Amino acid sequence: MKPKHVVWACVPVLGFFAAPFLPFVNGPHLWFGLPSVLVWAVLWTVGTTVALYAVERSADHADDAEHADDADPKTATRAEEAAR
Amino acid sequence: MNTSMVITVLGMVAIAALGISGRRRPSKQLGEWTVGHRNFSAATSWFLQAGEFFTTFSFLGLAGLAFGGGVSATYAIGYLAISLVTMYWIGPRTWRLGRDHGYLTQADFFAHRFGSPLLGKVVAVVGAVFLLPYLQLQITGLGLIVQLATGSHAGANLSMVLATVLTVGFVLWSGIRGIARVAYLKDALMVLALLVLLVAVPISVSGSLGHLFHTLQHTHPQLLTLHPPGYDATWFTTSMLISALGSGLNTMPHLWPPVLSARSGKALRSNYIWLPLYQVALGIPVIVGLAGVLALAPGTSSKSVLLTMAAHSLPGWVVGLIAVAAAGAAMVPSAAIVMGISTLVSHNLVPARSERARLTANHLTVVAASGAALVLGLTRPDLLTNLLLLTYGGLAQLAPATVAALARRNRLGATPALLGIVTGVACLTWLTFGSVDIGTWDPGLVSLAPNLAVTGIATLVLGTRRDSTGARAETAAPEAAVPASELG
Repeated sequence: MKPKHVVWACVPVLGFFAAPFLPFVNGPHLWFGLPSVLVWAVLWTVGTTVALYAVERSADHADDAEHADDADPKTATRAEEAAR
Repeated sequence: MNTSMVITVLGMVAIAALGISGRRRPSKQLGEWTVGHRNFSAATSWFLQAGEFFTTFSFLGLAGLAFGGGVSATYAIGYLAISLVTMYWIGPRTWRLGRDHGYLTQADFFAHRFGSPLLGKVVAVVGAVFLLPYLQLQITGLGLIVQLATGSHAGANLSMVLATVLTVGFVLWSGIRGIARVAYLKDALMVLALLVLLVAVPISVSGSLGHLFHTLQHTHPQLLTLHPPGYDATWFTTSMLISALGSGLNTMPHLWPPVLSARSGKALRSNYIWLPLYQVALGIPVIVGLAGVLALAPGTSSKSVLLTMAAHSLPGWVVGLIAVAAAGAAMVPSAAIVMGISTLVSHNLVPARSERARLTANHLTVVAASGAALVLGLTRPDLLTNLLLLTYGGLAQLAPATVAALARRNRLGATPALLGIVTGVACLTWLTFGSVDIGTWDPGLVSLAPNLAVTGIATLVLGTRRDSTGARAETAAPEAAVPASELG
């Protein structure tokens, strides 16, 4: 995971927090017949999926390879048995 | 008994029957009952996690918030999406730690990562205490849903009892597998109900969705901005931030089993990518609440807005179906919450000689916690209301310690973490009940400041951790790892 991936993921977060400070959003406006603040929130919700999808596609998930036995719950079972 | 009541009762029984059918074989171990075999598919994990996002708040609270505060209610859409951004990284990390060290609860994580059984027990107590009013909220919310849908107060009380008994039944019988199965049905019903409301309510109020908002633009323009009294930009920003911190760092104990039970970190990541699209549905209760501004008297109870609007717009049998969906939105979170409470008590607080005794203690706690929440909901519905004010902000005080403990090497000591948590909760209590004027700032967020300050000062005085049990155990082979429950 590189810094650029964190930046991509932060874009929608900034979009949500920017809403109160953008006059073209935070006003009694209608976009497509709906309140601009509501449309803005929905757009950035979709933007969250786009950003995370981009991160997923380009980031190297070393843990996935390290834990190739992800589908095998035996490791956890052993830990739970040890706990008992 | 009218049509709506019959449909509602039958729906609740069907939900519980589905939950009961989720059991594969009797659980002889608490781990199997709580997190399955940690092999839930991405689809099952999806519905478990989505089920926790859509609660009675989605049906009753959000529409009520929009009715009083206009589009400020969209803070909920924002914080849930933001929380999924942080969970994209934290969820798989938590899952991996849980798998390698056998975590069953959030308290296991704290006890292990801080090498402190005391901290684990404190986190377990805080979690169980703060979850009880949240459980009661779901039960009383269900009663309100039935009352509004059927017009019967006696029927509402009966439904609260019935739903609690049914929920306890399928939770004890099937554990997390039952909750997962019910979550499928609940989400399908909920999405259907919301789509019906999206079409029917605007048509009945003003002819169309577009006309509805054009009317609002002229009659109540302030509700289309983030400036209405009491719900201004400060409220919006601070509420979104503290909710995103609490939810995004998984500070609610009952949200841990859905993460720990997943098959893989990759499955969790996949869900966090796509779950935001699912949350777009939360815009519908906001629209219904805004429609209520034009259709209902200003003094209408905020909690009753959505179902009152449904009753105005739809025939009785459809209202009954919507009430079933809303009842599901209460029963599924109730099941998860009571599971959260019982595992914290039986796994982290009550000493047990054998696994059988632990499971018995767990099941007794399920019955006791549900019974207490039901009795209080029926007889003293306001008794825990004050405590509920502390639930979200109080559990968010675990956020700084959670961040430190998720690091590869936890340098925060248990004592500074504990002092920070206690300070944060104490400050929140003072701000909430001491009539302290902090404007529209969220008290939970304000309380994070002294929490962080005390944590920092205590760390300077006591020094950082030198013997990091968590870091050492993490690098060891799973078989050699320190079992979390031995620490907790």
